[in-house]
Amino acid sequence: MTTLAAHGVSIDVPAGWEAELSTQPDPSTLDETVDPLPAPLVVLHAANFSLPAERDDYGAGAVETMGRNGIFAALVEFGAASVGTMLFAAEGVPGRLTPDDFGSDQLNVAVPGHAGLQHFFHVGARAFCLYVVIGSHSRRGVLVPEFNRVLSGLSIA
Amino acid sequence: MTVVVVLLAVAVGVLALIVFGLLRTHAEILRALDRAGISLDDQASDLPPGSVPDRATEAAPGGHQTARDIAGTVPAGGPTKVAVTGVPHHTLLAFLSSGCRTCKRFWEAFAEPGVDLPGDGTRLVIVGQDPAHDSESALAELVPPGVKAVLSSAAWQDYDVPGSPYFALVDGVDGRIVGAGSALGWEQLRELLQEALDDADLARSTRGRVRPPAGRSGRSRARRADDALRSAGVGPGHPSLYPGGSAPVHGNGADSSDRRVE
Repeated sequence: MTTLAAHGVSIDVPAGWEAELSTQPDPSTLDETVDPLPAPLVVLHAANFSLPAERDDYGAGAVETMGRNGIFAALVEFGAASVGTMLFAAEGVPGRLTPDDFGSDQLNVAVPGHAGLQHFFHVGARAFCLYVVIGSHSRRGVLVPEFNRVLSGLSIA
Repeated sequence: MTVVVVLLAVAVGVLALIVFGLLRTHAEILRALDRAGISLDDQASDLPPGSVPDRATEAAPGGHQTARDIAGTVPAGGPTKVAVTGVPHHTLLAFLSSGCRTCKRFWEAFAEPGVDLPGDGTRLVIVGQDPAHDSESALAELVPPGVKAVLSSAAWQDYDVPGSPYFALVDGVDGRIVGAGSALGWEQLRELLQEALDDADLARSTRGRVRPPAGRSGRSRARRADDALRSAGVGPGHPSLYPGGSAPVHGNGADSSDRRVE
């Protein structure tokens, strides 16, 4: 078990899984009229298959390569202004996902057979989206508990 | 006279200090170059080339050395973990530095689109040293687009990397190092890695765990042996193959590619 930690986000990565913690570009570096972020916004990717070097925040470039037993998860942080909005009203990292939470209508990249989940929440003054894709909707009864094992090792300060 | 002696003594002392300072600076430069993986030898890499299967020959009885997953940071990025064990494919770990001359050939080779890696579905992962030991910005610029790279001095220790360039081919299913070592160029390395894969396939088949051959398999090795015997004038039924003096009626193993038992 390897633990990755940065910017208040920590995850235990089990054997056979890969993960990467990165930060989003500060918009102020591209637009001088925008105020710099007070703290970097985090992006965490985890997968039970080889993560390609190039992929976007919600896994485009990665989910297309995964097989039926593949699981991809992205934790994407939003600006503090999102905290307090209806979308992010849920509090805390979800403890456990259920297979029925997953559907093909929640996918960012539509791949036949895939199913996804989008869960928005906040932890303190930080807002997040947890986006999970499984390689086979029909195998959600196996794949979702497998992901819950990884989710139990995710913590946000 | 006394004044001259004192002046000479002072001059000698000053010169000694200058020489000491120069030697110290020189040593610091050598240490810095060594940390950056830069060899002062124009002729070759930091390592003896052509030694890829060394791990296989050093292996413990029954198998090769155990591989470990890689934990480190992405060049100019955040922390990452790369799985090389418990995965259904081979991984070629390329331990490269930003400064070594021989590494430059591999940086260029890996930048070629569709680089031909040995084995089925082999994944390339470039492993650099931590930012304390190599230039992170230089490494970030050298990593070809689309190639996975991680900075991890811990991985260099785990894989006993003596210097760069160095390579380790890991069987993700067995979680073992199939071959490891250095080479002067990509073509040479690819050949050596393929040999290591062939040896691993052969060892696996002799252990009774036959796996479908990937390209150059044990079967192709047998074919090469047949060709070598044939060119030496040793063919089916040759007396040297039957020390007891009695050749079988039908085909034999040394003729496996040409004849079939009816």
